[in-house]
Amino acid sequence: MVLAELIQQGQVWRAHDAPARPAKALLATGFPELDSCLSGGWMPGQLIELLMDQPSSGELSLLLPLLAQVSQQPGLIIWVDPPMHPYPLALAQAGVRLRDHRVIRTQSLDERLWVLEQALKSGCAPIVMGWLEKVPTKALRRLQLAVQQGQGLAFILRSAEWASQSSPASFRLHLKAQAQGVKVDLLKRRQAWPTEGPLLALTGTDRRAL
Amino acid sequence: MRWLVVYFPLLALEWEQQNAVPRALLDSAARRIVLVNPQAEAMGVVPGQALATALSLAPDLQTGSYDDELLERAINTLALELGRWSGRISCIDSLTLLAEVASMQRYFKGVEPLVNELRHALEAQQLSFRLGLAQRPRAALALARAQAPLKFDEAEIDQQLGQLPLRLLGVPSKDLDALRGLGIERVDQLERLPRQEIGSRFHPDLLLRLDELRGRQEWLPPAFKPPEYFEQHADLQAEISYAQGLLFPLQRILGRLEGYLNLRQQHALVLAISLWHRDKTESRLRLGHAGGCYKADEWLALLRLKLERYRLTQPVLEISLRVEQFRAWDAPAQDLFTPVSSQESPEQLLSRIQIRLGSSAIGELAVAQTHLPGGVASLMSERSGTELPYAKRPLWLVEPPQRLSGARVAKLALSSGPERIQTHWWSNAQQRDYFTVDWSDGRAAWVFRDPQQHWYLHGWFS
Repeated sequence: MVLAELIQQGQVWRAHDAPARPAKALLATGFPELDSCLSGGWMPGQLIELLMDQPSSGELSLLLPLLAQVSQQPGLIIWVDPPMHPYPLALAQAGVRLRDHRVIRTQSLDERLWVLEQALKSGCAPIVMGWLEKVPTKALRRLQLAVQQGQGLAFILRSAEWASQSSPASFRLHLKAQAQGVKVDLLKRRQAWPTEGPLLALTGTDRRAL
Repeated sequence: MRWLVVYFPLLALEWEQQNAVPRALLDSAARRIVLVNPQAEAMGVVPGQALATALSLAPDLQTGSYDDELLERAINTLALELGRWSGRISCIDSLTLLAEVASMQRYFKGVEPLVNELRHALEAQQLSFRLGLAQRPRAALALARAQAPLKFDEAEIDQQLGQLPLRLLGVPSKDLDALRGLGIERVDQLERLPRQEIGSRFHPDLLLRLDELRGRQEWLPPAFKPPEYFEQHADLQAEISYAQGLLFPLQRILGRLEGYLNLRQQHALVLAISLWHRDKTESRLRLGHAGGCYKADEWLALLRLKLERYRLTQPVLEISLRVEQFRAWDAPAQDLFTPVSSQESPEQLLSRIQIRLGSSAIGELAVAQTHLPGGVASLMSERSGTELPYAKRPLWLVEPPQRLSGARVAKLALSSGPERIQTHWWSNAQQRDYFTVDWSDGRAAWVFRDPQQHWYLHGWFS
């Protein structure tokens, strides 16, 4: 395989792509173990792929502390085609302010990618979450460019069956639901090797409260 | 260079009539020609000619008479349009507009780019116009009437003013004749005479005009007041049968809209566009902008998106555009300390998405009693007897709830519950016992059992 192809697929990390320091500060994930794996927290301006064996494998619980933190500031939080209904009451219980959330439903993959690109590029949505299935690598590359322009946080949520597809995302996390919480494996991260991640005890799976 | 005068000498001929055929206006008795367009002039038709002579020179000459109402509508529309370039417009007469341009020159990076942009926009309308630019309204008006070349240097303008023929100042013709008898025809010649002599020998207007021209006297016509509502109408030159073809005439109306909104310091929120067909039926289009906007370009982009998916049922003959909702401008909140990386406002983004996907595509999240389909939120807890207890709720809801098979139910490990939730007895009574269960793959699910002992999956906890 020639180098150009590898670069195209995002397998090669090039030093000159990296800004001298991130344009925006990293945002804490709310889980100290995960923060240390991500060298500080979620990185704005980069595509972050969350891969799951099935929906509701802990992806929302993982993002809850972030949503609670970011929703206090102005700016849209955009959900593009989540597979189920997010329950506002549960989000509010977790301290998420609901005012700026928008759930967008599309009819086709084209529309979905268009909305994602517009939202990522706009720079007025600090968090964009998009649920995608089979997409060409080229489309992900476009999204990566869009988020670099908008400098928000971009989460692409997909089934783990696409884990072997090459992806231009800077971070790829594989989430596995377990009885004690969720296990997060880092398949790909910036400026570091992949690693077996921590097992996080999630508040969303706390079953005592009922 | 504070004042710009735009003079439309052939407005009565050119408004709403844009194809290039010889055309002339007649006097009230319909005997003599008073105004001709360049096509007619090329065939030898001149003002003052008898109609019969003109027709023998140009057999296909189109004639008409002055329509004061049309002319007034035309000049008001043009005044709106000029609002894009200036915040203070006056109508001097039904052919002439005055605009203050100095206060806008920072926005356009100088008066010259402003004038060039204006000139470009007017040329696109295929109207004949003349411009005059000076420090004082009267001087700008006289320069526009004189067809003097546009100068941006003050000294050069002063020199131009000296060269102006006196007849352009609007003084009684008796005085003009007397002056001509003295060999005085230009402003600079008149200025060499002693002021007192001019004052005592001629009509006082002469001295007044001269002073207004040189700035010793103030003269400012009243400002143009835009109407309370914006509604513009356009008759199309030819039928339009495909949606994209509507963009061009609408672009012109949007230009006026921008001027209007600029003058009134308003944003438009909703535009209503009516398309009139040959059989007098009407199709309506509504275009919304979430945060409001005054820019013609932005509206045009939204319109283009809208028309891409719009299909015309019949050809269109006339268009009208109306603003349904306004919002006052407010100064953008400026925080000097946070860096601005956002290029777009949330309203802009949502408007674009709404136009492409339809308004039902965007939902919000809110804790509301009626929010949930299936009526869960309006259920009440029997245990507490009050509004919904804020017990642990799942992050995801499965809507509608999924019926679970017997085999599946057998594998569930209940970890907490039941919580009985019941609707009011007066609404469609339902009773459900909710449990949190461990799904066999490590996930936690929210399930319920109805009185018939059927089990349903209603949510996920992660």
